[in-house]
Amino acid sequence: MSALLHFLTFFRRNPFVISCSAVAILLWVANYFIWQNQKTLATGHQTLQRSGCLLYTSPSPRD
Amino acid sequence: MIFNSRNTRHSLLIEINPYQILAAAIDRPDSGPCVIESAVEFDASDDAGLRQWLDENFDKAKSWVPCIGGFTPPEALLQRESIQARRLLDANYLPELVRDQYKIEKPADWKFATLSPLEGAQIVAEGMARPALLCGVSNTAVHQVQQRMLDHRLLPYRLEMSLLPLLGALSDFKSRNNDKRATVVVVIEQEHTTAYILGKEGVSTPGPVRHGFSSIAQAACKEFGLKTADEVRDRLQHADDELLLRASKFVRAIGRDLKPLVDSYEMTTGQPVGELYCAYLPASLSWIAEPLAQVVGRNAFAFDCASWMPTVNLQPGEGLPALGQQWLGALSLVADLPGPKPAKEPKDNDTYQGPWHLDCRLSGNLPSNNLVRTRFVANTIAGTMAAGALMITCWQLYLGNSLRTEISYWTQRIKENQRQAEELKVLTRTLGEQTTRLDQAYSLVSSPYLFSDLIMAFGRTRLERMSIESLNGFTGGVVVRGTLRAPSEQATQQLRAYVESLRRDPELGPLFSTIALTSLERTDNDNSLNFEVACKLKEAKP
Repeated sequence: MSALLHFLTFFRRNPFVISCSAVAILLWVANYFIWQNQKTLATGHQTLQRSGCLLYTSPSPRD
Repeated sequence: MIFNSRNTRHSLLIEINPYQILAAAIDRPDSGPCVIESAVEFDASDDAGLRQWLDENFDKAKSWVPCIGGFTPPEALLQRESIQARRLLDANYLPELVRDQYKIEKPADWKFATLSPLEGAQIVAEGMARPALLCGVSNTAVHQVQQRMLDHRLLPYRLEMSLLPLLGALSDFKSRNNDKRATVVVVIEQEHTTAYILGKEGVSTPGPVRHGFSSIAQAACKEFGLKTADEVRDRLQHADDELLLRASKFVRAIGRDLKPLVDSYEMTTGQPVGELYCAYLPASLSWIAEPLAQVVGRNAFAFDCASWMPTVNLQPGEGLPALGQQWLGALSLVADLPGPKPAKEPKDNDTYQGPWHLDCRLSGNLPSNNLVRTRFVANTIAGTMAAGALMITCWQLYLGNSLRTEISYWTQRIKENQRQAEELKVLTRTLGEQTTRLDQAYSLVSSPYLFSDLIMAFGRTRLERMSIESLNGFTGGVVVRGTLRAPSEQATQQLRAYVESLRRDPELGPLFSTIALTSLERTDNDNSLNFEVACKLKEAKP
């Protein structure tokens, strides 16, 4: 309870810093998960690209 | 405001006393009187009200509000004492003195100063024994009030025991009015009452009175048959005729102990005590002063704030209501009190700030002087971090969305073209097979054996007395016809040897898969034999 009161007091004194820091932390955490998702998407995209290449650029008979 | 809050002239005056929080917005120009723009009173525990008022009146200043503060610390020392002025140079002199005289166990945790009891000036460390007003306050008490102020966004750049400037203001008021009689200043706290007597020799500090406001409450409780503390408080704050009629009974306990102190002062100094002033009492309890003065046998101190303010360089702002006597302590914090000015301008961290003014702040516990810069930097860093994180998030979301769109688009395209692609694959495979066949045919015709070479090769292998009459080609081979002039038996042997030599010939042998003597025919002439050799070409490799 005391710690909470201290935090509230600190927050009241520095609302902008606290708010920005909280937003920044949340966004960095969100960024981490988005980045993970991005990697999965990128892998899928590469696979698709390879499939597309194999589909559309069949090897020449002379190769 | 953000960049110069430390030196701004628009600031706050606040006094936290046992009964109330008195706050006033003040404007202090470089020259001219200090203007009291607005003033407001709160109960001592009404922090929410103070916060709301601050938010409403200092809304533009979202950072710290600079303030001059006064307070009545629970752990404080204000005593007239005879000191050895010369020994003030010894850092241990005052701590030892207060430890011995006033049983303060840890004087290192206190802040002490000595003032002249008459002028309020700092005592110089020279000379022999002399009376001094020994002032001290515990760091714990200062820390608590500092924290409370910081919690309200208030940054004190002076924090004083408000009783000292109050005594200074009263001394000045009396001398201006040429009042030769002494005045008793009474501070009624919850459990005890403290009296200070302002006389011609300055401030005297008689011993404390054992009764405080709780004795008034008890008397009222008994008198009116009240039960709860809230009922008593409400009753005491509504001064009707019935209450005023019985008021002397309520203050009798305090007055009974206070009167001997005052009489003793008169007896000792020979100076009459004319008036009694109850410090800090809010307007709702101001009725206490009159009966208490009567019990002590003196008059209640009469004070007109409006007429006093211009004499100490204070000016009420437009629309400011008349301030009561309870404001004397708060206003004296910014009042221009007479007295010997310090030889050099006091620094911010000096305790002594002028006559009757002692700054008790614990500077180390306050935000630093470059607070605004620090806050600006902290805000900038935090803002940049947040903005950066936001931009990266947006960028990642954009990239993710693009990838998703692209994947979806190409998945759709692949699905649409799957059938054509399969057909294309089949056609490509067919094309590959046919191309292979073409390549094989090409390899067969690419280097055809020259007929002249064949003739040359057969010519080279021709036997003596053999004539080759024809070389005829057929599908898949060559037929050699000729005549060998030799007796038939010998010719037969020679021809078989010839065929064998053809098979082993390095030029002709590899060309043909089979070389065979297919015909032998005697001619009319008994000395020759017609022959036919069939040479079948090798099959081309697939």
